[in-house]
Amino acid sequence: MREFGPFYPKSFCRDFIELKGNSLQLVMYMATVLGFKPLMDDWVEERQLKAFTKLCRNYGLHLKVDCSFKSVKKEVIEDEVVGGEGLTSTVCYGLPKGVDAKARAHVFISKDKNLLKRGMWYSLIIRNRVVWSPRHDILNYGFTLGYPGCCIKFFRKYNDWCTYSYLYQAYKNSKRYSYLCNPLLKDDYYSYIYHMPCSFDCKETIKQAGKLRQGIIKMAPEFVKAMDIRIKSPFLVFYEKKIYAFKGRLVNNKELIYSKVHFVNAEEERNSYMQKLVKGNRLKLDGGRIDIYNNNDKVEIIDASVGGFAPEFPFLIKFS
Amino acid sequence: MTQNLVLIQKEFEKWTLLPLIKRKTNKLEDKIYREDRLFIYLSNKIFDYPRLLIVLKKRIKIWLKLDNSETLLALVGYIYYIDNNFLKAENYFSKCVEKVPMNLDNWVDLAFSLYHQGFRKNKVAKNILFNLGLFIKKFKTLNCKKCNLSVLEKIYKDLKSKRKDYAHNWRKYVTD
Repeated sequence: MREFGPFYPKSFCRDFIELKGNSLQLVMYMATVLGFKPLMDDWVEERQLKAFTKLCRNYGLHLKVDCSFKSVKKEVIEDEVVGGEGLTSTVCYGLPKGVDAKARAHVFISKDKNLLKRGMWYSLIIRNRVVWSPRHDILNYGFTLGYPGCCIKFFRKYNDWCTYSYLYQAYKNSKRYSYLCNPLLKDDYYSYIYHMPCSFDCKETIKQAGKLRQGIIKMAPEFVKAMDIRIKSPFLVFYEKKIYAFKGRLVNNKELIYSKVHFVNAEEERNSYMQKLVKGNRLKLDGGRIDIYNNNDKVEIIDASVGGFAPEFPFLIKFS
Repeated sequence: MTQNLVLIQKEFEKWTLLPLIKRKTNKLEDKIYREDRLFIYLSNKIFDYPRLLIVLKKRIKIWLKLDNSETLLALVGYIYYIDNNFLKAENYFSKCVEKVPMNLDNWVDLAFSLYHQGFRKNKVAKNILFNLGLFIKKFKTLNCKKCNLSVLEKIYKDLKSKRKDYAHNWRKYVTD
């Protein structure tokens, strides 16, 4: 059972999940509907576009279709596409809207029609060539999406996947750990924020997330209840895409006693430590090394990988 | 290169610590993503030092009286783009296209300045981005002297009527 799996609110924005088949962007959509988020992006199957537009209209939202995306494996395009070597996470062909029913339309959604103009082009492959978004647009898109300025600047400094673990930098920059600043489950449905905070006690993030939480409580209290439980779990973080959540308690920031472990990220191929973690019920962190115990017997050791892309800087954290 | 551009280059470097290199032409057949890197570096610089934009906006008014090369026009376009003044950026990128229509970078820059404007210009922007090579060829074939919205719409209309546009040909490029 995936305890961190999709959530269906009783009524508010339930139609959003029913239409899309997942609740990945649910909080973001709720924030836009409630007027806390100025603009959001989403990807909708072309065949669902009409129904999705209607749904947005019912919530008082404006929608603009940018173009359509069609995913492709990086290996397929590597030698053939000009600029293809620079693509990392999103490797997609770009198509004019409406030409392929199997493609996903990239849409901008906002309460303010004028803001739709500020949506950002994503880097896409068009006719054997990558068309990149201007650097200025990338740097400033966070402001359009309503992220706090301090977090945007921090992100600019530490969003370097070969040198830093962004989350570790945010952890080092924190004095306390507010659950309102927990971004660890943002790819797995549960988080009041959709940006990477500059610290886990960022005042502006707490303010924004607090308002959103109050807004959601009125519309879907059951969702807030489910969210609060999950985001207050103890976590072992290696980097942004390799995070484990536990049922258990932190003895201190170097030791955890647990009875259950969950891998919370979407990309299962990155889940390389689960087999070791399930063998134990206690772990101790010592720099980049993690000793796993079953009661008092040491059963496994994890040595965090520090070289190359996405270096691992493990830390234990519990948000309160 | 004019003496005035040399002076502008020196002054630009003094303010930004970035070299203002004479704009190279990025031809479609060279298969290079982008020749001009200044837009990227300048965007980074102004993001980190936002007050620099105020200085540069004042300086470009003087620089434009001294020079009208593609290098300077593109720089002015970048500065207005970074200032989110897309209409003015469009104006200068259009002039770049008129000067050197075979430069792909000019077309991409023009397209993005249109992209952030109203519905009509956004549509034209995407038509350019989806049909870059064809726009370059057609602009030359039609021997256009001016690059404006109606010319760009005319080019696309022509491509569409001959079913040469990307909407009709995307299957040739997309692997399932």
